[in-house]
Amino acid sequence: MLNFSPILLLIPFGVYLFIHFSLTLINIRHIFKIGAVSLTSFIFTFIFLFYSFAVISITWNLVSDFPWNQPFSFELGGIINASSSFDNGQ
Amino acid sequence: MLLSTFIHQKTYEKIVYKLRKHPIITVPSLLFFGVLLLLPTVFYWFAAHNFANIFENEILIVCLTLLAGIYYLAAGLFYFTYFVNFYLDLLVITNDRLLHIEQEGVFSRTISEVDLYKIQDITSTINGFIPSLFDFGDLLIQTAGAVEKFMITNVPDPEHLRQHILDLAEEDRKFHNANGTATSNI
Repeated sequence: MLNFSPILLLIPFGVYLFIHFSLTLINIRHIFKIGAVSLTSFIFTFIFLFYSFAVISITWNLVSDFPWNQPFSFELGGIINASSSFDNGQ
Repeated sequence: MLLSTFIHQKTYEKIVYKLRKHPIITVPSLLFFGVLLLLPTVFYWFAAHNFANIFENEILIVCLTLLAGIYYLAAGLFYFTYFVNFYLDLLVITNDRLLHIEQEGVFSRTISEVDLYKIQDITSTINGFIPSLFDFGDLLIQTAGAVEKFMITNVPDPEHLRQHILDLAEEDRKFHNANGTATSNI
């Protein structure tokens, strides 16, 4: 049995967020650099940023009830068989 | 930064055309984006009907939720990057030269430029049902410059554009002939 902090589950999400917003900034920089700032590009950028924050917000709302401070354990052999310490003893 | 600054517009130069590819070409990627958005729902429906026990494991639910979050963000970024690529592909025609800015992905951009008086021949092509319906196609510009051929794809109304570029090239050629520069450069 291996014990892990649930915070570790957030690492891939955090890494992706970093990549996501880096690429977003590069794209926005391209728009400014080429002088393609217009109502169309502004609307698309705004919709994309709104969409990104909506997805992050919904994702966080869905997982925020999870007890992030309690370590969980699972047996090597598959996460499908994982059992958490707060699982009502199952 | 303004486009005029980006292309180093000369004082006597004025922008005649600022063209992008026809917006209809974005429809397939928009449909693809829609399919990408629907896929997790299909996956969820399939898993809920066939592997219902997966959803009893709290850690797995959290993992799948975070994965779905990453997936939806990546799908959004894919479409935004596609839009930026589409929007930054620009054909700028001034009374002196023709510039083709082509954004290829996030980290690659090609800018080609040709003086109008060096243009020798332009071929416009409209090929297929959708291009004929929406009147867009390709322009192949042959020049006497270092870049011999320019291929500009999916521009709206290529036939009219071809004629207008030829007219502008003719005017520019007359101007350069009058100043004695064209013959020395070709």
